Amino acid sequence: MNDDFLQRLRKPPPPEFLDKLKARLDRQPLPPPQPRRFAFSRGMVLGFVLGVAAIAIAVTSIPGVSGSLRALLQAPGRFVARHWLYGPRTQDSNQHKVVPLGPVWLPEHPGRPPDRQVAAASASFKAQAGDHSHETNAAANGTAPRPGIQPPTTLLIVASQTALTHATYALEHMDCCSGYLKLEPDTGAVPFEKMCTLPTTAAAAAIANATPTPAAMELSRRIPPEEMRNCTPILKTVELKLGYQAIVLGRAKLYGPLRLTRRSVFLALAKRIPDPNHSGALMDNPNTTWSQVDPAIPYESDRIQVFGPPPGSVPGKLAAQLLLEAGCNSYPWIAALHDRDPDRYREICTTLRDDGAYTPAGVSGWAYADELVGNPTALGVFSTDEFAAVKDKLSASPLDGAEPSPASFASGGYPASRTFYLYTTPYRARNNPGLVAFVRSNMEQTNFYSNDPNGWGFTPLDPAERAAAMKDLTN
Amino acid sequence: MVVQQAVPGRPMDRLSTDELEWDALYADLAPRVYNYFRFRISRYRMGSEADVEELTSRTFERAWRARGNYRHDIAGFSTWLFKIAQNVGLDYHSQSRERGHLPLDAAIDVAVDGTPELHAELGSDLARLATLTASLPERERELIALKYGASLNNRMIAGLTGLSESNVGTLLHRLVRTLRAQWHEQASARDE
Repeated sequence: MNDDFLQRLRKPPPPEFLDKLKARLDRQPLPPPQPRRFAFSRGMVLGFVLGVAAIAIAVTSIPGVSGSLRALLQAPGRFVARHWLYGPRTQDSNQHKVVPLGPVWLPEHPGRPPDRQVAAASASFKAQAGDHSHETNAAANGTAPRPGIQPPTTLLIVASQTALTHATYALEHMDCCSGYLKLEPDTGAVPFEKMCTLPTTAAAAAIANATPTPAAMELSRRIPPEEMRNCTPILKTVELKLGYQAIVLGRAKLYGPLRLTRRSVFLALAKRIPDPNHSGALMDNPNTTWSQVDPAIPYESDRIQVFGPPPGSVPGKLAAQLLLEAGCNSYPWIAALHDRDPDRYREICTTLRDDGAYTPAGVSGWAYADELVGNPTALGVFSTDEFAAVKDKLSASPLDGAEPSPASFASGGYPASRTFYLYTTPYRARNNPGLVAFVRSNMEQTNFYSNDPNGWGFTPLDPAERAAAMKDLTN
Repeated sequence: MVVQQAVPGRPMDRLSTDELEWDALYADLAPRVYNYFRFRISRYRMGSEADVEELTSRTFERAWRARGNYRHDIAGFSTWLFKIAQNVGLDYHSQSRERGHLPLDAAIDVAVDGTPELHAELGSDLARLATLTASLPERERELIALKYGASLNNRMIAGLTGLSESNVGTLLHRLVRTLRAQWHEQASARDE
């Protein structure tokens, strides 16, 4: 149900009004609760209970009454005492019932945690409560705490390096409450497990409290089920899909789409590529025609010429990552550098060639769409919404046989795309209006993405999926 | 806003009076009550900003005075608060009628000669919504205000209106579909 036009009508109340009202309310003392009427039925029950109790006491104090008779007479008293005086107690009354934050996929947890774990988790929860309480950065956002109003605790959100630009952009464009959130890049010091688990011993809690615990993490990879199963079940870690980042390669319709593989794109556009004659060594990219990178590509004399955003710009860096990394990772020895030598990995896998094969032509595809029509063998790099606007003139290149589409982005079949996920737990996000606004901003601000380089390349979820997600989130 | 937890094991909305975190509740609920009244009363009179603030204040003051009587075993705090807000709104409407305030459709008619502020108000999206909902029955207007002003979920709306949860969902779905179509028609007519 597309109800954005109604959702947009809300606005925050004036802060001065909230302050004044809160100050007035704070001056009111809490009135004593009015005594409840003593209902007739309640009196009957109490009389009955007292009667049964008196009989039971009398019988048990009479010598000579057999044990079984005594037990028989005591049974109603016990039953009444248990069920009427102290109220019914269901078996799970001590279980934690967590309100899920949003629409989510949850892995199958292997049953209820042992009681010891629940008890330890509950005990350490309060100790944990402060571990992500940071000084609010609200002043910077103009939402500094006002006298008389105690804002919810500032939450820490950690974004992976690949999701940081998007998360920052979403934070900057929130419609409210950005002062309640603090965004930090993932430096590897705060693993996902820290957010989704509670320490079960005091020593572990002390270690955990030494560094801040994020309330949410925005990542461009999906946490695998086996990793999710390590999470403390009572925290109910939730996963929310926010959208995709994807780019499209297109060229004029004259010759039809150029079908490429992730490796051929890498070999065509990377500044340095593996030297086929020396294992583990690199060489400057010598390829000048498409047939050199992939003999299966027809039109062997077609020159490699790609128009795209400048490599130093935000769109340029994104294009480099999405175009090159997938093909780069198809070489196992380069993929292994990702953890062993990240700087070298980045240099190999995200550096576009600068010898003219890749031509910086403007920060958006609008700048060179017409150029491509007149130069039908050249390719252009587009965001999905840019390409949608020129698709009557250009045809998109399938990569590894996958057409660029939300379905192929979602399935991971299209190499030049990635999916953003947000992970959080209702425990850590408690009382904070900022997180929901952050998620909404992450998913909904599609209009900005067409025009702002920082939002370039973002592809929102399809309307039905997004509406369903937002509905579940707000419910 | 999703109801969060202050005490492990129970949503904050269902805690007893002693356990509730009033500041957090206020921070969460004040904007929702405020927007509930914005949606609810904007059609009755112009210059309603002050009225919205007045009604929000009245709701909270009434709730604060009576908070000792809140029964967490019967309803969530937000349901209780919005019941008070509904009553405050009803009082306001009956007083407005007694004072002879114009309904919005009448206000629209006189807007041509109104002040610039009046024009701005009428030109706002909220006024556009008011024109669209002017012909709707009271119950449907209330549903819109509870859903989109107060950001309540269908279950809570069902509790406040006496409708079933599925009925609330169905009614809202139809309402939004109709309003959306009219909204876009109005926008295209304005563009032309």
